[in-house]
Order: sequence, then structure tokens, then C-alpha cells
Amino acid sequence: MALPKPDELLRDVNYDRMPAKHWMDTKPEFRPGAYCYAGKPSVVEELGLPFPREWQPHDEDWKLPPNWKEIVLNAIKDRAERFRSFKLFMDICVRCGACADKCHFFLGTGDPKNMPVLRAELLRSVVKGEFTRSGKLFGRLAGARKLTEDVIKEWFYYYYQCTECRRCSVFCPYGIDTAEITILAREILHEIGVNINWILEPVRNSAFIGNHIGLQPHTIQENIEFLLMDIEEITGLKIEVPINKKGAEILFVTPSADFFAEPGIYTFMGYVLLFHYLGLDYTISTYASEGGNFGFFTTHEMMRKLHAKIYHEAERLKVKWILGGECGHMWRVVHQYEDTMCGPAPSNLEVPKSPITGTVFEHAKSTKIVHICEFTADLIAHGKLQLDPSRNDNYVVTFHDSCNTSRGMGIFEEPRFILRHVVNNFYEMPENTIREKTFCCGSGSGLNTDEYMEIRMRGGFPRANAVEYVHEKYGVNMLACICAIDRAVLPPLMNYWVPEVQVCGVHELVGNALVIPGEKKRTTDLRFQPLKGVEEEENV
Amino acid sequence: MSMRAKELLKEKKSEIFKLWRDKVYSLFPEETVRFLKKETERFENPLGYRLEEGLKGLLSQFTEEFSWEKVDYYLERILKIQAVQSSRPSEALSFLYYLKSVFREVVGERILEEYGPEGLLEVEDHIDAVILRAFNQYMAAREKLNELKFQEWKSRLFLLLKRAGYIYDEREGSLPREAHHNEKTL
Repeated sequence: MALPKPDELLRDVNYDRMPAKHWMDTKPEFRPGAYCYAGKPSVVEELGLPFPREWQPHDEDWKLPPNWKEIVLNAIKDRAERFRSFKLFMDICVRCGACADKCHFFLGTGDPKNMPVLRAELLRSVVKGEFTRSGKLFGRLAGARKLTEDVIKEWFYYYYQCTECRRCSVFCPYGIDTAEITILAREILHEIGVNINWILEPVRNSAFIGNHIGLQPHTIQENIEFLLMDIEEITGLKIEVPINKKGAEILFVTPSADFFAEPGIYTFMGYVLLFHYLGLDYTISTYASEGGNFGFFTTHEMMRKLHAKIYHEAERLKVKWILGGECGHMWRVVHQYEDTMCGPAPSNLEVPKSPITGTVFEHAKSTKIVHICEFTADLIAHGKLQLDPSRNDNYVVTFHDSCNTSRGMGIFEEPRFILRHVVNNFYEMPENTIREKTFCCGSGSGLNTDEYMEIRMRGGFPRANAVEYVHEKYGVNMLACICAIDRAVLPPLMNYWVPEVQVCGVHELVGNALVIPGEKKRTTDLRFQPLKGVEEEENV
Repeated sequence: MSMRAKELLKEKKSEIFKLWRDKVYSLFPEETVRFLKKETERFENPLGYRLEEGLKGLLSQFTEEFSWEKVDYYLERILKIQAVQSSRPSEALSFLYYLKSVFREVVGERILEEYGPEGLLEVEDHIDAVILRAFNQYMAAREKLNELKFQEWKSRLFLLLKRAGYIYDEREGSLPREAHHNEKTL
């Protein structure tokens, strides 16, 4: 008697096996959790972007403009002429596969179109099929195809399933930067009104009000005052934060999430304590109250527009230089574009010089902006800070290199140097998951929205997997980072994969450890958690 | 809990594992399967590593001593992945159904010969029970995903909600857990 084969029945259980088809014949499935909502017509219109209309990615008809094909082909041609990198990247890949398994989205989803080589091929095949003779003649044999509406949908699906983290480019022997391909693909899609709201709404708010969530100046001030009350409760110190103060030496710019979101506010409290300790002559601006630049995820021009606000404020407030907070892509914009398409910095700015140590930050000679980790590491190196790392003894800490500050500008040592001075328990994640090989949080480049949660959990899985390892091995319970998107998205990521691990900014830990003259004996950290040893002491 | 056919399953363990893995991987595209199988270093291939670890772990519950504690551990690790990767619940749990198929294909006839229908039913009953247990894990993961969404909104607006007194904040301890959600904390 032959036994029945139960998996034959599975064919009727309402799911399909992955079809063995050529990649050009498979289509993405727009199901909830796997795509971001489209830009609201009012937002698209206010930003002056083309084709505002009601549509959603799950619609059959995306209501593209009648001449969409012509617009896209012209846009590709235009970018190929303007950006030599784009032209090269569309040409030089030899499909060696070195990048294939380096993408966190591929590792987390198992979808081959998330292999960077294939992600780029989505566009490359059209360039071949529409612009080259061999492509037109041999079609699929030459890896070429025509531009269709399905291709547009596929681009949207996969170019918003890339966080522009650049991990793949570290491994590419030709240095092809898939992030740049994604940046341009998104830019091209914008020309036919294909966009996502989670990026455009913050862009609108930043452009018209000054920060992503649209906090008005008085709200920012009230929030800060509220945090100052918490600081007073914890330290007994009455501190003021200068806002829009003309003639201050330094303009401090940080991501707006640090003014209102958890756990960013604790990082902000850390900054404030540090500046108070130093007696720093600084100000924050309510108009340039956003380090983040979602324009960078929209078009080059939009990036430039939002970036300029920081420098306009530096000019208006007549500061000498700019200090930047713990932010991710803000730094990529500064590092890679301030010297080229965005600059030059206003003439009132000087080469940044630490008023405490006298260190001249030569590397910021032209951008005039210094990363707070550089600033703080310099203070510690000169012995200017009195620190009590035991105040962070509740935490066993590891450090997540944010893609933008690590691969985008090469900050590796400063945050680690700081952490080693402000905490007693610090452990690194495995070598192939940190520094330039760091895994993305899975929600960068404007994808940190709740409707996208499933893809975010997939994309962040390789990162969480490495955190889980140090959690098991060393008991790590705190993941420190220097990026506001990380501080926003790593908590849910940890909550799902490694619930025992919390997330913080590096300067929150600095704020905890800083021994400030005139403060009362601290019994809690900045999160109002009792310090280690305090409870036992009280019980004695 | 011990199954009569345990020794038989143990003898064919590696064959069973390979066939099972192939069936589970048939849900992925070919290119991906090549990669998943190629290298199972924990950090270079986290998906392949965890799936393999989970499948091996579950299989060993049938070939060694069956322990619900261990079954739950491996199920949780696999189902957290399935909960974000599968398009349907039935797909997420199908890997266990495949185990039934594999057992029948590889050792089904021999179990019947040596232990009679009871021997085979015993094994399959265990799989059924594991599937039910897996459903708990799947639901827990899906519930968690939902929770993440509203928790994230609360975190995003944390200070605004706190200032408005709409947050029950454990750290402040000012509002008991059972209190109505919109009572003021300030």
C-alpha cells in the first residue's frame, strides 16, 4: 500500500509556490505591510512636484500621466548626461555576484530582486532595451527589456526596498554604489508622480516649518522646558537652553525627534547637560530645527533646498560654526554634498575650533560643521570631562554603526572612544556586522513608517541577529547608536527580535556619566530608572 | 514522551532533514535557495542559519527526547521569520505539514511494517500537536507586529503625549496599570 502524500493537498490550501520564472516575468505583490503609501496630492502640490493625484500602490491603475514613458526615458537620458557615476554604473557591472548576499533586504527577505546586482539590473535592463542597439536587437538575450507600466511598479517596489545603506558597494570590486542608483531611480520616479508620503510629508514640514513633524517654535520651546524640568528633578540643576540667540558662538543642529520622541529626548538631555557643564555659548534654531534631510530621499534639488536652511540660520544668527547632533543622513549630506552642490558655507562662519580644548577641526574647514561625537571625544581625550561610568552600570552596551555616519563619512572610532569612557560594560558585535560592514537598521532612507512594518522587520533581521548574539554571549541590554532614525526604528526591531534590548543615543550615556559641579546626588538615570546600587543602599 | 518509531527516525535523520529542507526551501526562488544552502554562517546568512537551526532542532525532538520547551523555542525562532515573510498563515505553517510528508516518504512504510498503524499515527499526532502549538507562536508574532505599530506612534509622540498627560509611564509610577487609559497622569 502506498501512503498518501499530504503535500499534494497543499496545492489546494490557497498558496502558490514561488514560480520558476525568469525574473523579468515575475511581478511584485503589493500586499499590506510591504509597501509605503503614496504621497498625498496636497503635499505633492505644495512642494511643487509633478502630477499630484489620488492613487495608491495597490491600485491596478496608478494614473500615470499619458506621456509617462517619454518623461521617464528623457529623465534617464538627462541623469546619464549629468551624472557620470550613473552612466558608469549602468555599464560596468560584470555580474560577479560579490554584492549579491551583502544586502540586508536580500538576507532578510530571500527575494533575489533584492540582490544589489539585480536591483541595479531592474534599471540597467531598461537602459539597454531602450537605448542600445544590441538591447533592441537581442532583447532578453542581451539582458534588455522595454519600459512598461509593470516595470514602473517593480521599480517602485524595489527602489523603496533599498535603504541606500551602501553595504553592497563595500564589496563591489568596481565600486558600484547601488545607493546612488536607488537615489536616481527614485528621482526619476518623482518625475511621473510616483512617490511615498512618509518622505514627502516631512519634506513639506521641513521646508515650510523647519522640522519633520512640523513643530512650531513655541512647541519646541515648551518641549525643551519640559525636558529641563526633568533634568532639574534628576540632577537638581536649573538649566536654560538658548533658542534663536543671535551672536552665539555655535549653532547646534540635531534631528527634531530629539525634541519629542522616545528615546531621542534622553539623548537631547545628554547634550544639554554636556553644554551646561562646559558653559558653551551656543543656540538652537527653531527654523533649522531638523538635522534630518528627507529631501535627500526625494531629489538632489530638494536635498539642497532643505540643507540650505541650516546654513541660512547660521548666517542669520551670526554664529561662528555649527555643531551637529547624532543624526544619520544629515551627515552624508554634509560630508558628500556641502563641498560640491550645496556649498559654499556663508562667509561669517569660521573654521570650527573647540572653545574648551582649542582643537581646530581642520577636517571641517570648508563645511564648518563638526559632529558632536568628534567634539565630545576631543573633550575626553583632553581630560576635560569628569565622568562616572558606574552610573551606566545598569547597561551592558553594544554599538550599532549607522550606515550614513560609518560608510557615508567614516566615523568609527569617536563614538567607541566615548562609550569606553562613559560605560563600564561595552562589547562589540561580530566583526562582519560592524564598522564599514555594518548592517542597516532596515528602515533608513525614509522607510520608517508603520505601514511598512513587515518589510522593516525583514530588512532589520541581519542587524537584530547580531545583537541577539551579543545579548546571549555578554548579556548586552542596550544598543547605542548615533542616528535619529536608528533611535526611532531600532526599538521596534529589538522589541520583535530581541525584546530584552533597549536603544539609546551615545550622548544619553554621556549625560548619565557626567559629574557636574553643583548637582545633587543622582539616584536615577535620565530615563528615571534607579541607578545600580541605589535601591540596595536605600534598603539598607 | 517517547515515540515507538524514534529509533527508525533517528537512523534516517539526515535523509529526512535534507528532504524536509528542500521542501521548505521550495517556497523560495531558485537563486535564493542556492544561496541559503551554500553558506550557513550565522552572520553572513542569518536566514539560512536560523531556518536550518530551527528545522534541525525540531527534527531532533522526534529523534531524541521530545520536549515541549525545546519545540517552543525552535518554533518561536522560525515563526517570527514566517510571520513577516509569508503572505498567508497557511504558508507560514506549511513547513510542519511538509514534515509529515517527509516522514511518510522516507520511513512511512517501514514504520507500518515494524510498529503497525499505531506507530505512524503516533508520529503524525505529534506533528499535529506541534502545528497547533506553532499557531500560537504565529499569532503571537503577528500580534507583536501590530503592537509595534501603535507603540511606535506612542514613542514618536512621546513628549507631546506625556505633556498632555496621556501616557501611563511606568517610570513615574503615577498611574496604576488597571487605570483607564485616558486618565491624566499629571
